[in-house]
This record gives sequence, C-alpha cells and structure tokens, in this order.
Amino acid sequence: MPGSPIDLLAGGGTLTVEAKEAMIRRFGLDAPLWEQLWKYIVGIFRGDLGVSFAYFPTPVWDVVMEALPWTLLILWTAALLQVTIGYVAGVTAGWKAGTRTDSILQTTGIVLVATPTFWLAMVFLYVFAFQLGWFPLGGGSSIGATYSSTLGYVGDIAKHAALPIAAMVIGRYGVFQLILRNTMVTTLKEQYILTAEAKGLSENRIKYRHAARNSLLPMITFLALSSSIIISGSVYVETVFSYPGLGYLTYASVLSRDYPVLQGAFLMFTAVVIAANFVVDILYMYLDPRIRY
Amino acid sequence: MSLLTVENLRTYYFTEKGSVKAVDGVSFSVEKGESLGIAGESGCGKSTVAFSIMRLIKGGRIVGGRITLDGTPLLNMPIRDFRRIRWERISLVSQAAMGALNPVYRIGDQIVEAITTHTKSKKREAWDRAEELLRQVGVDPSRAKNYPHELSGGMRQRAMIAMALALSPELVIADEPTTALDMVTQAQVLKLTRGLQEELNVSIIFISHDLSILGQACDRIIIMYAGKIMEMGDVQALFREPQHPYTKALLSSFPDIKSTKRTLTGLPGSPPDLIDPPSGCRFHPRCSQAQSICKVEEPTTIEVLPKHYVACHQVKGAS
Amino acid sequence: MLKKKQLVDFWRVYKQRKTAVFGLAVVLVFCVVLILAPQIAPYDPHLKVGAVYETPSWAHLLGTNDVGYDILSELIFAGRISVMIGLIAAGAAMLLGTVIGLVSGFLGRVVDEVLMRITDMIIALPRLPLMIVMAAYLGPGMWTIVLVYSAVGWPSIARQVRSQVLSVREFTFVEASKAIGGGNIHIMASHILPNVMGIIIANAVLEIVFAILTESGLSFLGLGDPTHASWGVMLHFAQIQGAFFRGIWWWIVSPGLCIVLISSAFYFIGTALNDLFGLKLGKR
Repeated sequence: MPGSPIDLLAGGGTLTVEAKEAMIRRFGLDAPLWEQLWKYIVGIFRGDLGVSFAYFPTPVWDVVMEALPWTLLILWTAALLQVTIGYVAGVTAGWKAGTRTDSILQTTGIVLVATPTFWLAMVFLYVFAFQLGWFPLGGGSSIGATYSSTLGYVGDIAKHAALPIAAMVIGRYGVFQLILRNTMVTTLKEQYILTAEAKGLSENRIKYRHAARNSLLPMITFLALSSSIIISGSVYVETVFSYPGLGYLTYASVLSRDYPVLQGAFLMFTAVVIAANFVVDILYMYLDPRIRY
Repeated sequence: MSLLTVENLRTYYFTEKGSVKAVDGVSFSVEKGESLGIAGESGCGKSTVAFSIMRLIKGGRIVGGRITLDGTPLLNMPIRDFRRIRWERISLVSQAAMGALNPVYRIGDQIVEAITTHTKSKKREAWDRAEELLRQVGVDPSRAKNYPHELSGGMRQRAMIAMALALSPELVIADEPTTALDMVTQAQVLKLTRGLQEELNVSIIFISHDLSILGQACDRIIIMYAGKIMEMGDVQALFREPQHPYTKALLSSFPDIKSTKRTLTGLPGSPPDLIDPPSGCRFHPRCSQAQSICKVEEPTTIEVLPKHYVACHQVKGAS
Repeated sequence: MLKKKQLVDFWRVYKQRKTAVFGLAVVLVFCVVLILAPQIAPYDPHLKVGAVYETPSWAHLLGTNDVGYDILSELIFAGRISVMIGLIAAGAAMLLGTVIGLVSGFLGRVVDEVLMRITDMIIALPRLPLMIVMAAYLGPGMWTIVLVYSAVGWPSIARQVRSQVLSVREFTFVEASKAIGGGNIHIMASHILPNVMGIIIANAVLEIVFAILTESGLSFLGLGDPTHASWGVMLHFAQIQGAFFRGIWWWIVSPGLCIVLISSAFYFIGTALNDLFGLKLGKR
C-alpha cells in the first residue's frame, strides 16, 4: 500500500527496526492478506472496524459514528429537496413538453447537472460565506460556542448546513427533473389521461393526480440508484466546507492514509445505501397497487 | 330538434409531413334516445369524429364546422364551460384494455372522482352511487374497492360504462367498446348497452369497424371512408339494400352464419394517404364502379331513399 | 451500413434542436483549441513565467498560480488531459459494459445469472466512495482514475445493453436468422448489434459527461496526477492554496466553467441522440 501507515504513525520520524516490527505485529499487518481480510469481515459483524491510524487509538467505529449524524442530516434534507424540486420541475416540463417552458427548464437542469458539485460548493462558499458573510465559512457548528437554548444550537447547525445543502440540491436536482419529464411525456400518451380529460377534470388535477402520480413509479425505481448520486454530492460538499461528516472523513483519511477509517466510512456509506434502497422498495410497494401481494 | 348536430366538421392533424385531413366535411345528427353507429376501416376518421365532439383532439385541431348540443354551439365555448358539458351531458366509453382506467386508483375512486368533480355530492354519497352504478351494469358492487388490474376485461368494460353513466348524460360516445373482448363477453356487453339505452333513454354514438356488432346495436348507421361519409341510413335498410359500392364491399367481407356459403371478397388496395387524398371521390382508386367523373368531382350527398343518404355518382337518386 | 441519405435525414432532424447544435459547436471548438494547444497557449504551462499569484493582465489573461505558471496556458493544456481521460474512461466503461451486456443478454441462463448478480452487487455500492477507496489503494494517477471509473461504471451500462438485447432478441427476424442456421456470434454481430448501436452511441456520449465530471471530482480530491494537470487537478491546487481567501477567484472559476461548458455540450448532444434513436427504435 502506498505510504505505509506505519511510517505515518511514526510521525515521519525514523523508527528502529524492532519498533517497526513491533508495530506491524500490533496491527496484525504481518498476517497473510486473506487472514487480514477475514478478520476484518468478522470484525464488521461485531461492530469492530479496527483502530484509526490517524486518531490512534480511537476505534474506527467511534470516529465513523461521530461523523454519521452530520452526513445523515445533509443527506436526507438535500435528498428531499432535490426530489421535490426535481418533481415539480419535471412535471411542469413534461406537461408543457415542446414549449419554451420545457426548453428553459430542461436547459437549466442540464447545465446545472453538468456542473461539478464541488465547484458549485466552492462558488457558494466564496460568494455567500466569504464575500457576503451570510453563512459561516465551514464546519458543522461554531467552534467553542455556547448556546443559550436548544433553539440557538439548532439555528447554528442549520446555518452551517445551509450552504452545503444548497450546493447539493442545486447541483443535482436536475437529475430527477430529467427523468421525471421523460416519464411524464410517456405517461401523457396513455389512454387514461384521455379518459380523465373527457371526465371534465381540471388541468391541475389531470397533471398531478393522474399523470404525475403514474410517472412517479419509474422515478421511485430511479431513487434507489440515485442514493449513490446523492452520496457523491455529499462527499464533495463536505470536503469543500470542511463539514464534519462521512464525506469529509473519507477525504481526510485519504490524505492521512488512514485506511481503517477510509474503509469504515465506506462501509457506513454502503449501509446508508442499503437502508435507502430498503425504504425505496417499501415506498414503491405502497405506491403501485399492481405489485402488492 | 335533434340532440346533437354536426355540420361540415373538418378536423386535421398536423404532422411534420403535412396536415392529415382526418375528417373533412362530415355532417350528421343524433336524435334523443337513438343509437347511431359509425363504421369504417381503421383510419377513416370515425374516432376523430368522436373526439372532435368532445374537443379532445391532440396534435391537431378542428378547423371548421359546427357542433350543437340541444341547440347550444359547442366548438366556440370557452373550455372552462365546456368542462361542465364533458361527462355531465356527453360522456365517453373507450376500449377498456388496461389503458383507459388509471391503474393506481380503485374503480370506485375513479367513478367517485367523476361525480364529485361535477356535483356537490360528498364522498360517501358518491361512493354509494358508484356501487349502485356497478350493480346496474352487472358488476358486484364490492368490486368498487378493486384496482383495474384485478378485474377481467369484461368487468373493466362494464365499469367504464358505469362510470360513463354516472352523471346521467344525454349522449354517450362508445369508441370501439367491444373490440378487445372475446365473443361471449362482447355479446354480454352489447346486450347490456342496448338494455341500458332503452331503460335510460340515452343516445349513443357507437363506433366500430365491426359491422355485425353495429347491426345489432344501432338504429341508424354511418359508413365513413377517408374522412368522409359514404352512406348513412337506417341500419336494417342499409344492410339489406346497400347503395354505395364501398358499403357493398364492406358487407361482403363479413361472413353471415345464416346465409348460403359464399367466398368472402375483400377490398383490394389500402386506405388512402390523408395528407394528399385522392381527387374527386376519395374511394375511386378502389372502386369497381368508378367512372371518369368520380376521379374529378366529389359526389354530393343525396337522399336516394327516405332517410337513406349516399354520396356517390353512380347511384341514381329517387326520381 | 450508413447511407448518405440516412445521414442527411438524421442531420435534418438533429438540426431542429438548438441546444444540440450548440453542443456540437462547443465540442468542435474545444477540439480545435485542445488539439492546437501548443500553438494557441501563450506560454509553456510548466514554466515559471511570472510572479506568483499575479492578477489578470494583458501578459497573463488569467493571471498566474501559486508557482508562477500562466493559468490560461495551464487551462488549455489541462483541457487536453481532462477530455482525454474522460474519453478513455468512458470508452473503457462502455466497452466493458457493452460486451458484458451483449454476452449476458444473448447467451442467457447461467451466464446471464452470474453476470447479473455481479452487476447487482456492484451497483448496490455507493459509487464515489468505492472509487475513492480503490484509488487510495492504487495510488493517485491518470490510469488509476480510468481504472476505477470503468470498474465502477460498467455495470449500469451492461444492464442497459442487456435489456436492449433482450427486447431485440424477440424480433422475428432473429428467429428467422436462427431458422436459416446463423451461428450465435453471427446473430449477435449482424442483427442485434446494429439495432442497439443507436442507443449505445447515445449513452456513450452521456457517459463521457459523467467521466469528465468524475475525473475532475477525483482529481479535486487529490487522486489525480499532479504532474499532468487536468482541470480537476487545477482546482485541487486552487483549493489547497486557499485561492478564494486570497481573492484569486479566476483560478477557480475558469477551470470550472470549462468543465461546465464541455459537459453541457456533450449532454445536449447525448440527449438529442437519445431522443432521435429512441424514436427510431419505437417506430419498428
């Protein structure tokens, strides 16, 4: 592995050969690779992800667990906003397919999706935090601050989370819009839309209760895949804002060659994706009566 | 006064290649309580006529003509007002293959939606009415709680009929309602339709390419071809003594279980391109009786027998 | 296989979408600029040609960076790297994914099952973290990026190709070919491939977009090759040197805008192709 962790732990200084060997034994790095892998996998099930190199001797589990809530906060908020904005934009674009509204919405969505999320985050940081000073420059909460009330605490967290979430949402809502718009266009060709119109229903009702509702289904399927996309967004955004979540942990552990933490963060991300997929599956079952039993 | 009059209706669809003259000068009327059939090959414009009446044309426009319902002109009415006409006075029954009913809502909810949109009924009342309607069409009312995919094709069709009758309309347009059904179910649905029509005194416009069905279900019939009416009259009379060459050809391509064995003659050629339709009488390229005048001049509609109209140069008018 | 008339027809419909034309124009301009980089760039990008952090002036239109390189020159040369890596990574992922998708869809049964299970497993993992972990072990560099991108990217392509193959497989002319006695490879190549080709090309273009964005992202995180700067690497250094806090916003905006421009361009082209080819397939 590049940049042996032992060297890093030794603080860049030179160790005697015996000391190095002792450390190698201590970390079990002398065992054959497959044995290390097996021990690791077993360890996962016991909640033991090893010990951090960079924060030695803090267990990886603790490090990762401390970062998790921060990420979950921005992840779920951003996901919700992305889906909602993408939904409205997509439904509108699909309903008015072929018109100027459609072109404008589509072009905007595409250009924003083509924007690297980390770059967008940097721009936001510069404009809104650095230049305008409306938001803090980074971190999850103000360092060393005391709060007069829980509300104060919540407010502080919110102010720190606002820009990261904004960057994630604006950078990626377009993905949902594009999918939903195309689904809408297909759905609108279905017979039951004609029936709905023949029934004298209002435009909004047809648009949302009939067309959009049916277009939701393919989008929900896409949601499962999209958790990956949303997570990528959070990694970049956390890095730029030094926001203390799993994403920032990932970045930092790459820099410090803290492989156990890197793996731990990765595992935690995987767990989040699996959980999200599970939720999406249930949501899909609820929304599509055709596959209920 | 007729319930519905259609005068010189012209509806075109606009495509990249040009305008498709799907309905090009069609005139007819529907009386109260009568069942009018519209027959013809695919693409002859019969469905377009139906959708024109309900102003549901997509990708095209009604470019000319007048439609009146009980004297009230329909085509220039603001769409907001026209929405009140939809379903309350004119409703639609389509082919109830999976497509025509929204798959994610229960049957009952969809019927209730029609009722609550147009009347001040509460959901409870509307649901009761929905169940009652289902009973009338021969579907167990408890099925209102089911989704469309849980019903058989025949039941779905009946449910669509129930929904179409929910607001007691004066006119129901049935667009190929039996096409997707097997023969036995077809017969049941037809019987139901006839029965309901007589009981409720509703007018029906029955659209189908199947002449045998129309023969059973209708009082009068219109034969359309390439966007124009070829022949129109009382269904029994028309079947017994067809005047137009096209009608004759159509009838001869349907087997009749009771008549003597004969070879089925189809119709040579295919329906014309409606972007650039044939000159003169649109049927002339396929007509066995075409003469030179047919290629040049469009025939006018004449009443050759009482209440029996034909548009053909080769048919002599009643003297 | 491709007749002139088809091309002319195709262009006629393609032309109707202004964004697609715009995209094509942008891509062409970029191609010209990037290929002619040595002629167009004012300075050698690896030469210290000025003081550090010079503000934009006529001598240095975009100023200089932390070691005195001309940013504009760096930008142009970085474009070569970014686009090149994007193309190669996308190509590798497409190749791998297409082959696996074709094989899986056509051969079916056991092969299909096994390949699809592997595909599902990889798709279930979060993409970026996986790439980061792999890149961390492999060490930073251009080939690392190509490798991790294709390793993580092929499954979704394989899935799409496979479903296309499955639907084309049912067409009767394939049955006919089998009846005549065409061998498997022959059927795959001459019947199935041409039909899915359209969708493949459309998706390839979209894949390039993601590849470019991913490369810039990974480079930004420090996993790129610092000696061969891409736009992402430029941004990495800009971030590390605290460009914003020094007020050197042009160092950050210029690579970013380039990425946005070329990515949008490819995206417009890709969606247009998708619509066009989807239509053709639908018409059958």
